[in-house]
Parts: sequence; C-alpha cells; structure tokens
Amino acid sequence: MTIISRRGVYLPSHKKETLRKPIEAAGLPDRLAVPLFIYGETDNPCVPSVCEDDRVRRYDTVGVFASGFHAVAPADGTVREVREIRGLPYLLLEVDEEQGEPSPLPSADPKTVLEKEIFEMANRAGVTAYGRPLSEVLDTYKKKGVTCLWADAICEQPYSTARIELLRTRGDEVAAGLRLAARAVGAQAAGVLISAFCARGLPEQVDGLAVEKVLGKYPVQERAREELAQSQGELLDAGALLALYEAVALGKGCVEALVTVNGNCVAAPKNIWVTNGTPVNDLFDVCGLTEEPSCFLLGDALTGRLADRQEPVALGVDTVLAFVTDRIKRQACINCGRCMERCPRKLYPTEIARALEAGEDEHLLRLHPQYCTGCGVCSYVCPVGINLTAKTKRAARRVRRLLEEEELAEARRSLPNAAPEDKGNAVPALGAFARDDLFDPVGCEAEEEQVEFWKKGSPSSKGKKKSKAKETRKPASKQPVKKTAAAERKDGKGTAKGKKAGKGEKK
Amino acid sequence: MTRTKVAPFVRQGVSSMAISMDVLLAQLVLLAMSYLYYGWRPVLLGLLGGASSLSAQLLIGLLLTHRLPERPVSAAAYGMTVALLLPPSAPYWLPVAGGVFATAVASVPLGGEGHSPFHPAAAGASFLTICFAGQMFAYPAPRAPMTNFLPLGDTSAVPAGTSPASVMKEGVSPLTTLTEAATGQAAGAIGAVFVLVIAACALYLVARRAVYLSSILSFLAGIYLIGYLWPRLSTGPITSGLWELLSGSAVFVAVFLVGDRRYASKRFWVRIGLGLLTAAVCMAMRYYGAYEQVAFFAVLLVNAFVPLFDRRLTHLFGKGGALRAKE
Repeated sequence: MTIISRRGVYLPSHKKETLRKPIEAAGLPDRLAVPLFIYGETDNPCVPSVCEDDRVRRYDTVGVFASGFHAVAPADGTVREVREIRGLPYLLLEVDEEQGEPSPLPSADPKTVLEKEIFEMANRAGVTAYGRPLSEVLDTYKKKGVTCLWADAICEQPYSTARIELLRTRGDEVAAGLRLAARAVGAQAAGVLISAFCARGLPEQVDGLAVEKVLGKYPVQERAREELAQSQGELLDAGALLALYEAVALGKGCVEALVTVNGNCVAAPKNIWVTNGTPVNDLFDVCGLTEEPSCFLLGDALTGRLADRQEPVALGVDTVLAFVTDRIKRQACINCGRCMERCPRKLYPTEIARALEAGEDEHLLRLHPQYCTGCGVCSYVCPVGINLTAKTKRAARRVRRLLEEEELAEARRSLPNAAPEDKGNAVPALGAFARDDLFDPVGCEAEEEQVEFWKKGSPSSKGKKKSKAKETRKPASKQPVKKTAAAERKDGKGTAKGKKAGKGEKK
Repeated sequence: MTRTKVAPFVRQGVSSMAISMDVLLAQLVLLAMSYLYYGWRPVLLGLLGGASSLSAQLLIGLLLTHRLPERPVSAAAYGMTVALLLPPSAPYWLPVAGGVFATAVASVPLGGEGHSPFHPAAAGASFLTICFAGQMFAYPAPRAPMTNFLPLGDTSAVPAGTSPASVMKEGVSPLTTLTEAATGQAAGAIGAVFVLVIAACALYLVARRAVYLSSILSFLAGIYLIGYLWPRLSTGPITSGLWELLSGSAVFVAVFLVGDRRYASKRFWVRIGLGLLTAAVCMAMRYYGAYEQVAFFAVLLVNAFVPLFDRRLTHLFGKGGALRAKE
C-alpha cells in the first residue's frame, strides 16, 4: 500500500539501534504500581477489589471496571496501598521475592472457542488496544461491519520497533491472535501491515497471512486506517493480538508488554519485556545510561509525554526514551506556513494558536482545531520551535467545550418554559482542563510538579528527588481500601465542588 | 526534573535563520553576476543595503528591548532586496535609505518578520521610487562582462542607458533582443536583469522551501497573459508577453517578493488568485502609471489582502480540510 501525499514528513529513523537485536526481560522490580485505569479512558477508573495487606497472586483480579474489564495483578505480592497520583489511582504492590507458578485463567481451544468467550477472556485477562479494552475495540469493529482485519505493526515513529520485533519473534502467535480477533469481529480476511522502511528481514507471509508494506510520510498509520476504512478494513495492535492469543489459548493474563528502550543517552538500546507497573528507572538498569538524562519519555519522540524516573510503565506504552536535550530556544512565529503545508489534516496551526491566545472564539470555531490528531508534525517542522501541537490540542478542547455549551444553550432555548436568561446567546467562560492536560500525548507546556510514587527507603526509590506532593498515609490496619477520589467522581460523589461545599458547611 | 521541554522531542532542524540565509545566498549570487558586468560598485551598493537594514534592526532591538533581536539576518535580506532593485550607478545613500525604511518603518513597527502586512522590501523600494524617482531609474548603459567597470566614486560621466521597460512605456519595441535581456545585457536594476540566474535562484529557493512556486508562477503567468491579450508592442502578442516578463524587474519581484512565503497566503488557491491579482495590478500600473518599475507597488497593494483571506475568510477555505478529516 503506497500512500502518496504532499502532507506529512519523512522522519529520521533510529530503529537500526534496536531492530533485530536480542530481546531481554526487565525482570520483576521490588514494587509495582498497577494502574487502576485505562489510558484511553482515564475518567472511568475501576474500584479496587482488594484491601491493604491482601496477598494477591499473578493474574488475580485487583479491580473490575464498569464495562467488565479486569485489572490484573502482574505478580505475586502484597497490596500496600491504593494511591491517587495526579488524580489517578494506582495499586502499589510489594512483589514477593519468590514467584510461584501462576494459576492459569480459563482458556479454550482457539479453533473452537466461541465469539462470546473471546470477548469474556479478553476482558478477564485485561487485554487493551489503543488505550481501550480490547473487547470494546472488537465490539466497535463488529458493529461497523469490518470485513478485513489487519495486525498493526507499522511502528512509524523514529524509535519504536516493539511491534516489528513482536512480528519477527512471535509472528505465529500474533497471527493466531489475529484469527481469533477476526472471528470475534466477523471479518472474513486478515493480514499484517508494516512500515516499508522496516520491512527488511521480515517474511512475505506470517503463518499464512499476507504481510502488506505501507509506504508514505508520517503519520502513515492514520492514513492507512482511512484507506482501509474505505474497504471496511481496520487495524488492531499487534501487541494486543499476541495478548489475546495468550489469554484464550494459554490462560495468561495480560501483564507484560514488549517495550523499546532507546534515546541519545542509552548505552545499549533494546526491546525488553516489561511487567505492567514497572518504574521507568528499572528499564534503564537493564539498558544502561551513558550520562544522566534530562528527560524520560513514555511514548515515542513525536507524541510521547514526559515521565518521572519513578513513574510506572503501564500496558499500552510501547516505547520508553531517555534524552539529554537542550532546551529549544523559542522565537516568535515568522508566519512561514510550514505547519499548515505539512499538517495531514489541513489545519492552520499557527493561526489556531494566535486565535486561542487572542481569545477569538468565533474565529477558532472556523479553524476546526478539533480535527487535530496530535501527530506533532507542525511542531516538528516549525523553524522557530513553537510547540504548535500542544496549542492546537488546547484549542481543540476549547472548541469542543464551546460546541457542547452551544448545543446545551440550543437545547435550553428550544424548551418552551426556558428562563429568559437561558434564551440569550451567552457562551460561558471555559474552565481549566487539568486532567486533559495530564494525558495530552504531547504534554503541557507549564512546569509540572514532581510526584512521588514510592515511599522513602523503598528499594525502587533510589535516585528520587524531593517530593512537593503531600503524601496522605493511611493506617496500616487491615480495612477495605477506600474508593479513590477518581472512583468517587465516577459515582457522582465527592466532586471537587462537593468537597469545597462540604468544607464550607463545616465552617 | 524541571519539565519545560515538550513533544516532539526531535525537530526537523530547519531554523528561521536558515530560511533567511537561503535568500541571502541567492542574492549574493546575483551580486556576483553584477560584479562581472559592472565591477565593485553594485556589490558595495548591495552590501550597504543589507548592512543598513541589519544595523537598523539591531539598533531598534537594543533601544526597545535592550537586547539583540532574534532574527537580524532577515532584515539584512530585506535591505539587500531593496538594493538589488536599484541601478548599478545609484548613489551610496540610496540603498541605505531604502534598507533603513524597510526595517525601521515597514517591518518592526508593523509586527516584525512575517507579521507586517506589507513586504518590507517592497515598501522600501516603493519609498525610494516615490521620493527619488530620478535616481531610481537612472540606469547605466549595459556593458560586456569584465570590461569598463563603473567608477566607485562619481558616476555622472557614466553613459546612460535606456531600460526595456521605459522604451515599452512609449509603445516602442526595445532595441535589445530577448536573449540579451534574459542574460543581463540590457539596462536595468542590479539584480533584476539577470533573468536566467534569477530563475536558477528560484529553483534553489523552491527546493529549500523558502518561496512558494505557486505564487511565482501565477504572477508570471498573469503578466504574460495580460501582455499577450493586450499587447503594448506592435511585434505581436507572444513577443509582447515575453517582453513584459523580461522587463520591469518582473522575474526578480516574482521570486523575492511575491514568492516570499512569510508574506504570501498560506492557501494554495488564494496564492494563485493573489498572484494573478498582483500581475493585473502591476500591468495596470505599467499601462497607466507614471513609473517604469511598478511590480513592487503591486506587491505592496496585494499584500494587504493576505490577512483578509488567511484570517478573516478562513471559513471559505478551511472547510476542505475539515471535510476530509475524520474525528
């Protein structure tokens, strides 16, 4: 498949450093921070089903989401606490020194397993794809009537090679997972999609499935998806397919992922198997550092977000990078138009940024920033180093909020008994979007505060800096773990406003 | 760790300085060509134009913000552009006045590089034309390469030449041939007479993405088309169209002013439209105006429409992207 477009960019490649290199395992750290949320759906965290000091075994359920998706314990150990970090819940697990043989989850013969069972097994094993539960993704594809399913091993960004290496080393299992997913969706055909720039050494077929090469400028994955959609085709993450096969055929929970570890200060870049919740620091113990990095990234160079040294690597992250970078000296825009020329969505990022800063909402609505995919091309090509992607995403959130408010106002106006003030044309001022900013794939520009993931003195806290965040320790007595604030928000209780009101009442 | 660095963590590595340097490099090639025909005088004029504009930028930066400005090289390029539109025998103060005007009046007070509604070099050249028309169009007679260089001092004894544009204004065919006009053997501005070299520079600048090819071609096509449809010469529409292209600094203005991506529209069809409009305005001024070199006036006028299309009428053009995009 060749995607010809004037838009987009050819990126520099650093894949050679990790391609066709031996894959290692990071090993289990002393402590794991298991996310009780899914990256793509941070507003719906799960309620933990374990208590402090509870013993858990590998693949045990530690929380169930409203959709029936399970959060799975990645190792044998003891639950220490559930802590909310930057508004999101993590389960801190002290890992046993000796790991027992895990009791497998319910499994089935991949050839005879029923469609419904595939969905259930994926949920029980905690398999995710593109930041959502795999079962939800499959369900969406099924409703769309997808007829051809493609394993996504494109790896288009400069450093990531994890999916290609999965295909190279465990291609048969990925193909088996793809067949299972295709059966669940009702697709009649399946294949594997890889980037033409990384195709060297890969077979033409994987377990009887055709390997198609995609050639084009970054972001080629998004365009490939659009091309495929015209013939009712869809992509599915190769890592998720492997996890699906392991869940169905072997009864394994999804607790590990293949992660590319690279960067300009990494001594031995490689792909390593990382357990869910392993601190970033532990990955660099395996790969080594040539000098102290100035930043760590979860995700690849164009769309990754900054991470702390102690931050856990959750499932869904396929690249972890360490960089020694100089701060880019930003200058004023020179209106060269390169951002617009390259934007795959034909947006006008510099004008969007200007309208956002000037507070010109009407103009912003006409510029359609909500169609931004966050690919980072505009910032990449900007000759004066402006972070246009972050600005465009901020504008997109503003526009979405404006549109929602407009819809709401329209609905109010249409009510027969609407109050006169509701019939006005006022658009309310916009609030902050702290949570959105946190999980913005391109990060936010403001300086963020350092957060502490581990208690002082714990083996994994080495190299940690002094925390600004206040730690709220809970009593060590065995009691059910309280719902986190995020979970309470989900239930409609304990909102920030509610808490403030409560305080006010006490006074 | 202080988190001030943001994605993307790799950059293309093209700086704003590099864009201006590309333009300067192309202009230095034209100065070198001018040296071959006229000696050191046009080179000094070009360098003076660049240096005066650069000095004005530095001085204003230091006076207003007490620090050096971010991109002084772009100012040097504006000054050099103004100088290249002057005759090789111009007095030395002329490029200085033009360069200082371009930066101190038309660029910095109106928003700086890329944000001023008018191209500073076009404004500088227009200012000189209005104020010092006599010196602006006093071209020396064309010379053979490396012979009879112009004097560095007084140029009053230099034989005057007649540019094809001024001859055409009278409705008469120029005495020089089209080939001579394309290779710089006709009277004209320092940089504007070497049409073939300018074309080569344009290719370089297009490859470096410093100029828009669509703007350049639409402007030149417009000039030719109007010259073809309403010929001023009796030699036929094709020759008339070609002479319109090769005279009056049309090619130079197309490459260095109309094509400049910082001042052109960011939308393809708007660029095409405005390129044609610039050509129409330029030709109307040639037909009915008082001056023989008017292309930069047309650029100055049409520049004013760019923000209108790019900022205020975006809904007319932005929908294409929006329709194609899928949430």
